[in-house]
This record gives sequence, C-alpha cells and structure tokens, in this order.
Amino acid sequence: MNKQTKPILSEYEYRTHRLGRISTLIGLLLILSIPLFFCVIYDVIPNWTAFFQGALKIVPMFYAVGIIEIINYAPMLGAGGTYLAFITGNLTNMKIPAAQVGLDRAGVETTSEQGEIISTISVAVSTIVTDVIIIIGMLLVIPLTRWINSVPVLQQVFDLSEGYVISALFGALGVVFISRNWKLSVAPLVCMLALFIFLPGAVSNGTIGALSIPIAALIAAFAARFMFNKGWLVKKEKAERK
Amino acid sequence: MTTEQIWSIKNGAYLYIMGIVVAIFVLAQSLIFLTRAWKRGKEIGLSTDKMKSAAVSSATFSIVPSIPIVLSLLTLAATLGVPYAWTRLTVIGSMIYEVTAAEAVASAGNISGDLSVFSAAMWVMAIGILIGPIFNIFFLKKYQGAIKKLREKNTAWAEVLIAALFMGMIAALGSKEMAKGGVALLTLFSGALLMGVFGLIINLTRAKWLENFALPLSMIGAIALSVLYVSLGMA
Repeated sequence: MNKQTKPILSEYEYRTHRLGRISTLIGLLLILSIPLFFCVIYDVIPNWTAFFQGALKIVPMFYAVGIIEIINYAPMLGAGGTYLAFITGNLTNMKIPAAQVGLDRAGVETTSEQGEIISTISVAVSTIVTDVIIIIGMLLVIPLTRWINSVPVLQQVFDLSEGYVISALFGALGVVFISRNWKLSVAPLVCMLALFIFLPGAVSNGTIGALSIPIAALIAAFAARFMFNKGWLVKKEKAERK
Repeated sequence: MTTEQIWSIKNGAYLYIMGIVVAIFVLAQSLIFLTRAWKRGKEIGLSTDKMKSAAVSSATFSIVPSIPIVLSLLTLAATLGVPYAWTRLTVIGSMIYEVTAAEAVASAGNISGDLSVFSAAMWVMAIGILIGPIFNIFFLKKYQGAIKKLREKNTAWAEVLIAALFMGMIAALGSKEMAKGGVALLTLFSGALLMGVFGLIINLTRAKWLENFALPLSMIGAIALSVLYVSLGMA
C-alpha cells in the first residue's frame, strides 16, 4: 500500500473517537441539564449579576488553562483515556498517574496501540474506583464528617489544597519515575524548585500553580530534545546490546 | 423562601436523582471503554496478565488519592448541599475549581440563602469547565492523529517526549510540595523513602505480588507519618 494513502488512525481508534465524541456530548448535555431543569422545576431565574460576576472570574482563566492542559495531557492519556479523563476530572492527582502506573506495570510503549489500550483500561478502572469510593463516602458522609472534624490532625492532613496527600503521592510516584528516567527530571526539577523557592508567593498562587505544569513540561521537553539529539538518552537495552 | 426551605431543595429528590443519573452515566462510559479496550487488547495479542496488572495497579493506586476527594465532598456539601456536591465531584470538577467557582459567585450574593444565587453558582460551575470536553469533541481526533504521525516519524523521540511531559508534571507538583517545607517536605521524602524501600524488597525477594501494592502502601505510610509529624508540631 502506498505510504501516503495509509490511514493515520486504525479502525479501532476511529471507533474510539466516535464513541468518545458521542459520550462526551451526552456528558456535556447531562452536565448542563442539571441547572436547566433545576431552574424549570423550582421556577428560579438565576441571579444574572452573580452569574456574570462568577463567570468572568472563572471562564477566562479556566478556559485558557484548560486548553493548555489538554494539549499537555492528551499524549499521556491516549484517545480513550483523554475522553474519559476530561469528563471525570482529577487529572494530575489521579488519572494521569494511574495511566502511567498502568503503562509502567504492563511494560508497553505509551504511543503504541498497546499503550492506547492499557491507558484506557487504567483510566476507566481508576474512574470506577473513585466513583464507587465517592458513593460510599457520600453514604457515610455524616458520621465521617463528625469523625474527621473531631480530630484536627486528620482534618489538616487530608485537606485537599493544604493537606499532605499530594506530598505523599508525588514522593512515592517521583521515586518510581525519576529512577527510570532521571536525566529527564533534572531540568524541570531544578527550574521548578528555583521558581517555588525564590518566589515563595508562587506556592499559594492559583494561576502560577496551574501554569507551572505546562511550563515545566515545556522545559522538560526542550531539555529532552537537547539530550536526545546529543544521544544521551539511548535506551538501556540498546546500550546493553552494544 | 426561608434558609431551611432552600436547604431542603438543595438536598431534595431532584438533585439526588440527577446525581444518580450522572454517576450511572460515568460508570457506564467507563465500563464501555474498558470492555472495548479489553477486547481489542486480546485481538492484538496483549496478554490478559498485562491488562490485569494494569487494571489492578490502577485500582490500588486510585484508592488513596480518592480519600481527599471524598473529604472535599464534606466541605462542598456545606454550601451546595450533598447531591450537587457529589455530582460535581463525579464529573469534571475538582475541589479547587468548585470552591473557586462557588466563591466567585458567592461574592455577588447569598449562595446559602438565595435560590437565584445558588442556581447562578450551578450554571457557573457547569459552564466554567466545559472547555476540555468541547476541545475533545472537535479537535482531539486531529490532535491524536498529529501525535501518531510524530510517532511514525520517530518512535524513540515520541516516547521520550511523552515521558518528558509527565516528568514536567511530576517536577512542577513535586517541587511545589518540597518548597512548602515542613510537614509537606517531610511527607514527600517519607513517601519517596518508603517507595525506595519497597523497590529494594521487590528486587531482592522477587515478591512480584508486592508491586501492585508498593505505591498505595508507600502513600498510606507517608500519610500516617504526616499525622505523626503534625502531632509532633513540625508544621
């Protein structure tokens, strides 16, 4: 077959995109139908001042960051994983690490069709686990609230933005992936540490926090390209064969 | 309308029913993608063992990071009521986004005592985060095609690039935790140390079964240690 006429996406991938688009559209309509029917059922007209004030604060930043995020994350998640993850959220603290851990355990290349399948499986399983836990959590919500709130230490440790779950996650995850690819980690780690140490306000600044990920990814990609061109990133097995 | 009446609407049947519909949708979508991928995996010769180990490691990994999400449900439920808070955390929302959105609307009116302000908050939360799905509907196919082309041109570089993008994410979020210092820094190093120890044990004893649990156990261990650090007043 002529190379130019060879389709870029396989039949399976075409179907994944079709299913992804349809299910995303259903998801979107579902998300929007909740406030719509709420207003109809309870005969409420939204307070437009509050709406525009809120939307103006939220939309420009979250839309700009959202586009950068998807460009940055889609290659790590594959097609199926991206459709799923961008409906269910919790990307950096759950879906992307879950996909990477799954790929790592299965030992397949991220960009191959096998990688596509493994990341879809990982993201789907991760979504199911989280949703089941949230449902259990909701059923236990009242006793759990009382317990956590009665123990200040636990309240502090499990707080999402100020707590320590994310620290534990990235400590453990960091060791796994940095030990595999330590050369790739040097440039982004040094730059980001410098940013957060010399600009202490950056740690609590939401905009810098959100932008730091694509910036670090860009630094990592440039450094990787440089090292790749220099031949410093020769795969272990190839080096061993030599 | 009294605050009590508003509270009972926020925790009323309609929002619970919609929450259940959303949860069923999300679970069904995941199951459909999962079974398709599994079937395709078998077709192209991916071993069941590999797929199983990916599924098990993803499942065990996902348990611990789910805990703060459940707990953020408690915080959000205070303003939004239980069912809508649950719904928001089941779809795209993250705690940080929802709180920012709720605060942005609340600054213009009384979110707890005025149903029109509450409905405005519902709309802002729904609309403010739609960019990802909209992008996916219109552009993801083209974008994935471009990524695939890059891979066909240079597989080795495509793999390195994706590893680098992930490393960028680890570096940004990890550095932020390190720069916080105190308990955050100690917890991060505890997680790293525990994972290192598990790695050593796995290598030395060839305890394959431990591989799936090393990550969640290291996280739980580090979180337990963070409780100790906070109790000792190291924050």
